[in-house]
Amino acid sequence: MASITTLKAIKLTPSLVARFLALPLHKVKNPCIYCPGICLASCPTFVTTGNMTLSPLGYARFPNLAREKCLKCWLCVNECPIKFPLPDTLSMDPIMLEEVNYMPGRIVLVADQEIDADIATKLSNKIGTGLLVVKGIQRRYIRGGPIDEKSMRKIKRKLKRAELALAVSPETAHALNIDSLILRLPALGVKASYAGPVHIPCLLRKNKSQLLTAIKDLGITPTSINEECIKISVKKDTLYICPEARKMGGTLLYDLLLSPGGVH
Amino acid sequence: MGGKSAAEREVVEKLREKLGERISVSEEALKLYSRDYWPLALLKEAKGEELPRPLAVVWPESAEEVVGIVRLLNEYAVPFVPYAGGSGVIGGTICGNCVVIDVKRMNRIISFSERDAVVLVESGVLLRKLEEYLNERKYTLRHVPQSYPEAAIGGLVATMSTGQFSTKYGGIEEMVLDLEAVTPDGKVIPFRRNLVPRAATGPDLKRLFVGSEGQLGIITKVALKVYPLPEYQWKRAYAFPSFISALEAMRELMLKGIVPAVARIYDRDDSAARFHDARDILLLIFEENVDELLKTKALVAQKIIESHGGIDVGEEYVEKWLETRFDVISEIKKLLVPLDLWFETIETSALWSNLPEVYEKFKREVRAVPGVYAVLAHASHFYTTGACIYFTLTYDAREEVYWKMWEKAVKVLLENGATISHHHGVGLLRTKWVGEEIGESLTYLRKIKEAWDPKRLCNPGKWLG
Repeated sequence: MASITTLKAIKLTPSLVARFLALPLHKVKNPCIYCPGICLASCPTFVTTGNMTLSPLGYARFPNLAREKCLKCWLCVNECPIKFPLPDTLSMDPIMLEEVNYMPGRIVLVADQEIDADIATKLSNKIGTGLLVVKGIQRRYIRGGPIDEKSMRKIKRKLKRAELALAVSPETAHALNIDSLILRLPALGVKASYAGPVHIPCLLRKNKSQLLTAIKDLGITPTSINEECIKISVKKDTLYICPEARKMGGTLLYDLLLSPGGVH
Repeated sequence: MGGKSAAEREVVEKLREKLGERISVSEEALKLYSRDYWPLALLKEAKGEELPRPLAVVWPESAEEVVGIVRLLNEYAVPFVPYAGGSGVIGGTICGNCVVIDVKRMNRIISFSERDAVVLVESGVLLRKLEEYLNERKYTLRHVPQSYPEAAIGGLVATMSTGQFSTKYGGIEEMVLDLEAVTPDGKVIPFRRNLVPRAATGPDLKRLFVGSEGQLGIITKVALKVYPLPEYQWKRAYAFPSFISALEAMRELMLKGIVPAVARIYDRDDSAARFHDARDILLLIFEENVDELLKTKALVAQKIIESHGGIDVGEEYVEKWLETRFDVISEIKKLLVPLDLWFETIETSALWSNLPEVYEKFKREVRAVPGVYAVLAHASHFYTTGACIYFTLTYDAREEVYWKMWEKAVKVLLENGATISHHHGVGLLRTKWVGEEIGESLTYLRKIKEAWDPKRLCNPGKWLG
């Protein structure tokens, strides 16, 4: 709402005053259609193709196209001055989160059934933590659409039982707004040994500097940083944090940790 | 493809053979590429009105491909329009039944010489990506328009853009060392054989491309001057008794060579909207690579500013401006669209002696147009001879009001010795007025266009004919 000082700059007419009074009734549902595209340079499909249609400006106008082509990487949301959650608007059908498996602990690793339940199970055994496997998270980053709030609250309540809940995948960290396991691994005494290119996940880009510090503290020496979305390409010589990269032939940081002698 | 001529259908097929998936005739692409960020076009789109649709959009990956495309289009006499970031605000790329040649896949940074402080790029490189590349190497282009997140280099040159740091570093025309372009008949005008700081080898033909708005060809590569990233910055804001007294302070600074990188005088209306402080406020950023130089300039600047009645109000407003300077959407979402209002920006420049009248008459007369509710002003690009004033207007979201507002604005500007555009360009928006300002020059520019593009295929229907 405009402040009194701001109103001094405006020529107020009866018609405009009436519109101000009705302002709370008029909300803009899709602000992207008025925006020049402050987020454009962050969008992987736009940067790769140069095609405005395959950018948030196109996705906001053509949801069918967005459902198919948008990577749901949320980088545009980071850049947006009003943090408009474009990927959440691509479906009216909320995603239900369901608990699949729960093993209590002071520290609980949280995983998605489709993305990283296998890795999380092995890690929790190896590090000695609890585990919560949830179903539904992956869908948000493939199809788009919001998470059902009630089901989210239920999962959050379960996580409150632990002192610390840590997400194994970037998707889980982002969806549940909890810390990535990577950030806390050094404090858990975990060490690894590796030197080479390291990938920074789109969904953890906001925490890039903390992530790099944690990676270095783990004993990993990044010789270069790769920020290309794994849905665009996965490189054989790069170390990934995204469990989904393994399906595309990438080497996973967690695999290093799970290899014999990988966790010290 | 319904409604297209046989030649148009054939040319699309031939383009598809050449480019494979790098052509689109999809409903979505044609709709999105039927406008730039011209507020009137955006308003029409928001109201569901049809805009002239292009025939197709193509994404070449090299100057050689651009040549091939342009020659093919010449063969079929199909018009075309170059397209870069799409952030122009004048309808410069709106071109019904044209093939849109989007250069954004030509986005390589070809070379960077730290020694010579020169970077060579393809025209589709996004400004932000280039700046990030340079910053990693402790250099900067220092070209920062509000369209910084969206714009691409070719479009900035073709529009004759300027940026927030122009008072020290100049507009894009001062940064371009040389360029490569494809002519409307499909030939390459290459870089000079020797890239040099200056050459007296006749009039520089390439300068015709700066501000050509895609009417004389397609810029494919650009050589740009760059600068070491400044190590030291000094920021401060001052409240003045009036907008005019702040202008006077800036005149003295400029003529004494105390040149800031950024200087912005927000009049009390603009300050009220932006800072919730209804005073005339000057924001300053000085930056240097030598600390002593910076301190000396800051000291002299403070004395000059105080002598004109400026009161130090700290750094807070400068920081706020730096944080929000690219944000166009917040106010549109919060206020304009819900209030059924719309926005426009009109930028002008004038000599020091004309600026006070330009400012006062514009504010008074344009604000008096029925349906116009706010005329905010800030001066944001300074020269030894004068300055640019940038007006931000809010009005009823109706085309009729839009044009009445513009008619009045142009009348005030031309009658008071000001230009109708400082840096946004002409496009479709100012076509009908440009002749009033530049007179016989337009006749000769049109003769150049005619000689260069006899078939009138390159972005036709704009001010060059």
